[in-house]
Amino acid sequence: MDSYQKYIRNFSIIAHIDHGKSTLADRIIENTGLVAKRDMKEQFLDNMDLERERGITIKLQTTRLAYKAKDGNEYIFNLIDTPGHVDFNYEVSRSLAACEGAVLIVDATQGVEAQTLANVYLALDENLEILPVLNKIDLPSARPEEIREEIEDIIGIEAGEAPLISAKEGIGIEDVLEDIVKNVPPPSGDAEGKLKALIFDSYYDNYKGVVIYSRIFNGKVKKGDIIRMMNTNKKYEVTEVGYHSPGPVPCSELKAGEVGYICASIKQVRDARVGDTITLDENPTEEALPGYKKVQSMVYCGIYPAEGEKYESVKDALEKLQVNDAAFLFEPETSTALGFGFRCGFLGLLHMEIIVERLEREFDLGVITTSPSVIYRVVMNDGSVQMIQNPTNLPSPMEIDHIEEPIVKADIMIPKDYVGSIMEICQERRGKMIHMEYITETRVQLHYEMPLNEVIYDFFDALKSKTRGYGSLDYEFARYEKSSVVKMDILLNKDLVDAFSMIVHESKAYARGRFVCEKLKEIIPMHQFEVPIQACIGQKIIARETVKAYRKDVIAKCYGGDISRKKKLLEKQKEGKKRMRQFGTVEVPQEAFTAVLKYDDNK
Amino acid sequence: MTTNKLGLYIHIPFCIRKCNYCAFNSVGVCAAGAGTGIYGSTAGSESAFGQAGSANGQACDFTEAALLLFRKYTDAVKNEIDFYGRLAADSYFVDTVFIGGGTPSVIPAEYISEILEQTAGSFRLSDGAEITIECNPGTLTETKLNTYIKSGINRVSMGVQSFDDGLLRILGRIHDSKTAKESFHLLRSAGFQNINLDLMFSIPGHDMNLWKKTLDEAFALRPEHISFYSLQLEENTPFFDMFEKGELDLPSDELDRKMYHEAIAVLEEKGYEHYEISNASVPGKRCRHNLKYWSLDEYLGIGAGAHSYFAGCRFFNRENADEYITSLCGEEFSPKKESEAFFAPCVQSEDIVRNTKDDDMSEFVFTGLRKTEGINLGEFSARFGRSFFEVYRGCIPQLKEYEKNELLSLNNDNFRLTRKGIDISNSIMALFV
Repeated sequence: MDSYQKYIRNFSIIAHIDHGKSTLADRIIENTGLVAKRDMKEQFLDNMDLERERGITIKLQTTRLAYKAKDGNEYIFNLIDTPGHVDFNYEVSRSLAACEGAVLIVDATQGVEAQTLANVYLALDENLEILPVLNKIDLPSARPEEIREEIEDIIGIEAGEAPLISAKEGIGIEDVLEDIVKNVPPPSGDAEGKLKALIFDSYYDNYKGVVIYSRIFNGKVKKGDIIRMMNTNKKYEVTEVGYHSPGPVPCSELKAGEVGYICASIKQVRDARVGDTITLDENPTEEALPGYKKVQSMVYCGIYPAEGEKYESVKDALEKLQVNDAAFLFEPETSTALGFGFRCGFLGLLHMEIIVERLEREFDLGVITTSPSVIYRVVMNDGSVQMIQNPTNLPSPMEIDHIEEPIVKADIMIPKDYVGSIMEICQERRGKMIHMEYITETRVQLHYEMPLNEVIYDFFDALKSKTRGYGSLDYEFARYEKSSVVKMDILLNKDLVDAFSMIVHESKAYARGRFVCEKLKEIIPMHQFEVPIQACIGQKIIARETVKAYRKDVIAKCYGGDISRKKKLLEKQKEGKKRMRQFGTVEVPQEAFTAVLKYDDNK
Repeated sequence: MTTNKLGLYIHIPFCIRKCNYCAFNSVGVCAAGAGTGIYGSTAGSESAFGQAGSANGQACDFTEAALLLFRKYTDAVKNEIDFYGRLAADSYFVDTVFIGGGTPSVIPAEYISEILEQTAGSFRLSDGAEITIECNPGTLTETKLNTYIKSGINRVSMGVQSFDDGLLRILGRIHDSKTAKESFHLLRSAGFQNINLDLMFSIPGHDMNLWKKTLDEAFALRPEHISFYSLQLEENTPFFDMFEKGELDLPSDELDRKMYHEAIAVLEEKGYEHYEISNASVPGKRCRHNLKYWSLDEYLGIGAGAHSYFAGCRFFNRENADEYITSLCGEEFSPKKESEAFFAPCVQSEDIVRNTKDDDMSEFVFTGLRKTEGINLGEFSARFGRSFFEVYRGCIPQLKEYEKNELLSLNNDNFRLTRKGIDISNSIMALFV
């Protein structure tokens, strides 16, 4: 180990959502004196508004900190933040791969949750030293001793020394910092060897192009080097190296054991893929770092401009988002109902929601999203296989031999009182229980195999709703499995609206059809004529509702003093119409598209 | 000297008490404890239900404070008329006057005379000008009506609303059906040859039978004019609050429309012409003043909260009666000093909107469609210098669709709603705003 490495600590913070990860990160940054307290925005690392609002970290930020430890030495801390959601597991694993240790926060009032475990397993896969920390000990409901035991029993790591902290109140932060110094191993690697650097994140900067976050495992990299991405085989000349503290600070070189950024005039984040290995073109390393995976979209949906003429703006916005998000895919598509739009692929539902919200907030664009779909493996009569993620493209049943759908392994953690109701909703969603274990006396983990299309539909909402927010879920793709799924269409006033078509399991079709028809009946305003709403499979009608014709839309009195007021009323009415989509003769409010997907508690 | 026609609307914002559905700018001057207590009440509010309309035609005696308010208000109105007379008398003559409210008949009849004298003094009043006053049953006496006649009033619009005492009580009206009929006969014997009755349907608890009875009783009186309104729920009314709480048993939209079309059937059978969504008259007795509102003709609104469409602007006066009075009678007000100004001092600058040509075209169309004869497209081109079809090119496919469904009729000369189209008129009118 080189002597400079002795004082480097590369670590992440891992936690279940809401257990206080970002708050602790803030405190660490504050306590190492990097940012004056008055400059602290709450939750420093979550720098997108959206993240701050939802309290989740979507995009990573990595920061170099200097800490003067009690042993009198000054240490360099590289705090590598990880995204806190199940959709981003791969990114989490790559961030963890850049570290030697992980601070594991457990909420002292809630204990170990599904994501706590999922994250711990990811960290163990990377052979990280895990430092448990009990947070929120200031709360009256904190049960530190019990939770300590829980950590030891469930995770199997020593927690007797785990610092008791309150990130919110700033209690015990020093203990965490000392713990990091003592227990996170310093990095190793040969600065004089062949360059081997891991890309664990990247973002797009308007001036510098893609900024790669990298951990150097071997060798060194500096401005002017020609680097090569080992998996994509693309070559670039390095224009700048440096680290974030928290703003970018250029430096002369990055060497083995260090964490920093590399700029090389790269145009798109997809050219600097997370997990890829950077080496020097002239003197390359023989072997790439393990663990590289091309991210795969699991969930697809159509995104259409709410106003047709905004097509180009939506396209621009999607392009901008894609530049920064390698996991997000899109391509143009057309719907007879919605016109020109885009088929988009996401890691999961949350990822999809985030993209849609960013379109609306950051780009001020109204969009309509169609029912999310998974990718079906369609085996044709002639033995050929088609991967179908858009219900509209499903070939005719006559040509299909069978369809396979993706199955995920779902780990659900819940308080024991809810076992009955959660098993019920899993069963309703065609889940197969693998096994169930009591994690503690009061908490249960259910292991299920479940079709992904059920999970993305409303499972998460149902789980949260049935467990009053205490249930947590973690899932990962398991395999494709033969399944009797069918395409269900919706007809409005006898016209098929392709944007509402969805692929559902045969056994669920009737219930889903009824639900969609009822929802649309609530949402579609009365027209001058009756509007029949029908759900059908092929030619067969499986559910029907009718929106009655309206009878009265007239202002009785309109005299001198009423004209301006009535005009405003008419303007409002017209404005409301603009937010409607015209499908044949029927006007449908845009919220109809999301409403048919919402979990309904009363159902 | 040009000869533009001008309508004058004069607002009297006082009532015996405010009705349960009313959101107009009016103050109940006899209702105790309704925030207007300073005006007091001697015989008023308790007996207001049903037994109003005592022998002297006044449902309550007014306090000194109320009487003083009437006096000051009248002076303010006269000042405002004076102001606009100086501004516009040269280029306009007044061919309609409409004294509305509130209930204008609650203030002393002499004050009405004064207001009309001021009007005649400040403006040129055309021969045969239509001069209407609104009144409510139970606020009229022979003397009062004689004073009205003498001051030139030739049309009366009476808010009867219903001939069913139960419904009148629900509405919070001060009169009963017997009083309404008596008041009508008083009007006739005083010599009024042009009387309108306001009727209301879709009242909570209303059914078709009750409505038919009211229609029968109304037409039996042979008024020259009938207005028939579907009850509209307005915010800040007792009805609205009740509705919010789910305590209002309103007829369905289906029944509402049946009642509406029943009224049209009956009035046509009786020889009346249905000329606007909610108005009908015997031939030759359409309300010329109200027609201005639906023809983009100019009118000046005088009085608290009154709205104007004048010289290309829409504007309105301060709504609060006290503030209105102060702005026109305060020390700083002098007609001379103000003579430079274009708007009377009771108008606040933020309440003035200069109409664009688009505004004008849109208002011409959407208000014009209220008339059963619709709008004359030749007049449209003449007024705006562009053809209707060019301006609203984008709406034509939609209009054709409506026409196919028999909701409107559109040819090169005329655009009008059909009777079926009236029921959903808002969605058609909204195309033009």
